Amino acid sequence: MLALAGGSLVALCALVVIGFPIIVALVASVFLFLSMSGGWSLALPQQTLTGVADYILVTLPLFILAGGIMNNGGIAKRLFDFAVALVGWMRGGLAHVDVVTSVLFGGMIGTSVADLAGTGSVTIPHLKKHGYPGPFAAAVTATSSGIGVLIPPSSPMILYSAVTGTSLGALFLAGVVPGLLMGGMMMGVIYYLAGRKGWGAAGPFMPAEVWRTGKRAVLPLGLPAFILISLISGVCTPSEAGAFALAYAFVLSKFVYRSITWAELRKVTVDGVIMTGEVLIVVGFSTALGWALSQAKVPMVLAEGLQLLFPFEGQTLKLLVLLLLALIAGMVLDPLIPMIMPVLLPSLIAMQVDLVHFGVLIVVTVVIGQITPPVAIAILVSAKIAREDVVDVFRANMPFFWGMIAFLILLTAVPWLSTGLPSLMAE
Amino acid sequence: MSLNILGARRTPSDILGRFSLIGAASWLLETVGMLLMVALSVLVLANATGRYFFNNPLPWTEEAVSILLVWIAAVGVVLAAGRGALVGCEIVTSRLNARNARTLTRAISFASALLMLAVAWFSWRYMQVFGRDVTPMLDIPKSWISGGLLAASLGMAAAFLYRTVVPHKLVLIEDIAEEIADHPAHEVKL
Repeated sequence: MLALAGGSLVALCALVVIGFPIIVALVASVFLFLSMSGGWSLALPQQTLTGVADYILVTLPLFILAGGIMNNGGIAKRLFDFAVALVGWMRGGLAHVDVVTSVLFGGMIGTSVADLAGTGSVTIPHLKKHGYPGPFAAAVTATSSGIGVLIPPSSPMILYSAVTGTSLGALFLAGVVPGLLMGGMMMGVIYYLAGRKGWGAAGPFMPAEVWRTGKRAVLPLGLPAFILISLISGVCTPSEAGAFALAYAFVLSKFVYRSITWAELRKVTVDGVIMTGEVLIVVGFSTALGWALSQAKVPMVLAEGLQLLFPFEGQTLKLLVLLLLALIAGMVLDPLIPMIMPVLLPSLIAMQVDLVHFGVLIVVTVVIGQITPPVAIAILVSAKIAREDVVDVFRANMPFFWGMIAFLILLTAVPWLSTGLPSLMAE
Repeated sequence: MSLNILGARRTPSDILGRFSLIGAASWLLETVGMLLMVALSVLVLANATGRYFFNNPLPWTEEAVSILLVWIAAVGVVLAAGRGALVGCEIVTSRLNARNARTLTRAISFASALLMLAVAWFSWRYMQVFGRDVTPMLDIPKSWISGGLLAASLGMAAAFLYRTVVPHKLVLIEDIAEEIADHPAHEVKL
């Protein structure tokens, strides 16, 4: 049984590498397991439907749609101006602005690439125009786009919640402090680099400018503020927050700013259907794969293997090994979470790992995967926006890459950074 | 409109007609997907509004939303497959010359179509066994849910078969990045 499961996983990897769509590779590996093990063949549709029809997943299309509408509504420039007024006076000012824009934008966009598409085209040209090297401009934008998936709403967290059954509200709350810390870490790296390279401030600090730009940004900022406050206060469930956020984004973009046409709205909705559709089906087939692996007791063997390798009580090293596995997979696979969590989940439960804590860690791992070759979608997109060579952007990104690795180790070693806020709210 | 999809000689109008048909089918699917998405959003909003403002939640909407999710997944994934835009890894295909890459893509599309037909077969059997059970709130047959998976697998099989017949350019991550870079969101007027 164990050999069969191993064979299924090898088949999955081989098919993905050959070029099969991930959905097809997942189905093929489940079929292989069922046919060779003589398992109940109807488990495939049964488990797939269980995964797809999970009510928690309704938050995914709602936040994708709300983010898409806000993104098309041209709000990035308003947030950028506000960020310039807030932190532009610091050494390396415009690079800090890039990070703060991502923090603000991250409160309404749930994916890194959407964050890049929204902010990169505003921030990168400004950075280059003010003398920052193009590869650096692309690198800082690529890494800072990862902040968006830590600060709620977050598509990877919705997927993690659906696959593991962890409370989405707790996960959203758990991402807030790490998201802000990641922004702080990046600003620290920028401050250090600015000192060495002689990058100055974008201008003096002027409270009147903060007030003026703040007024223009207050309505877009109402969305993340509403999501955060409703979740922290416990007034709304994540799906209800998603519904209200969508209504808010629609009214703001269509009737207040009048920045989106009906044709654009149709396009955003259809794009949302396509993105949601593929991800939901991946979740469904991953649920079936997870079921097959559990039947073969693969996760138990993985947990026992880890215990054998690290025969002591502490969890940090074991977690780092699991995250290393996830990181390697994340360099190639996207979406990573529904693909890898069925394999890791039972091991995590056996090791009594806090699933909220691990949820934040795996999302940070996803972010690192998006800036690590060979795929590195965030680097690729930002290099294209900046019209810079990808390899130069990789090089320029190294300080942020090592910063992210150190950040992941810190979050692994200090669970309270992630679990503190949800625990506080639960009390 | 005359169609000649079985082969022989295709006239330009045949080709145009076929592409129009594909375009019409795609437009129809997009519209259905959009309507499903709107319905889902309205139902979740109605439930939330009923609960907060009228102290009268609509519990049946949760069941309806779960069914809609399955159908949105079905429509979305078929559209993605039809556009050749399903996520995959291009480590091998991107290193082949154009002809070999096209041949491999066709073979992959054909094998994928067969696999999806197998999924459709199992979904159909699942529907026969459990489809008459009814849902607890709406009291409708569960085939409304499992039918979504059947539709998704049949639709994907059709899309893969179409992709086997009509060669298409591989959608690489570089292409997606290029598209995003060429269509920055901030170009929308402020």
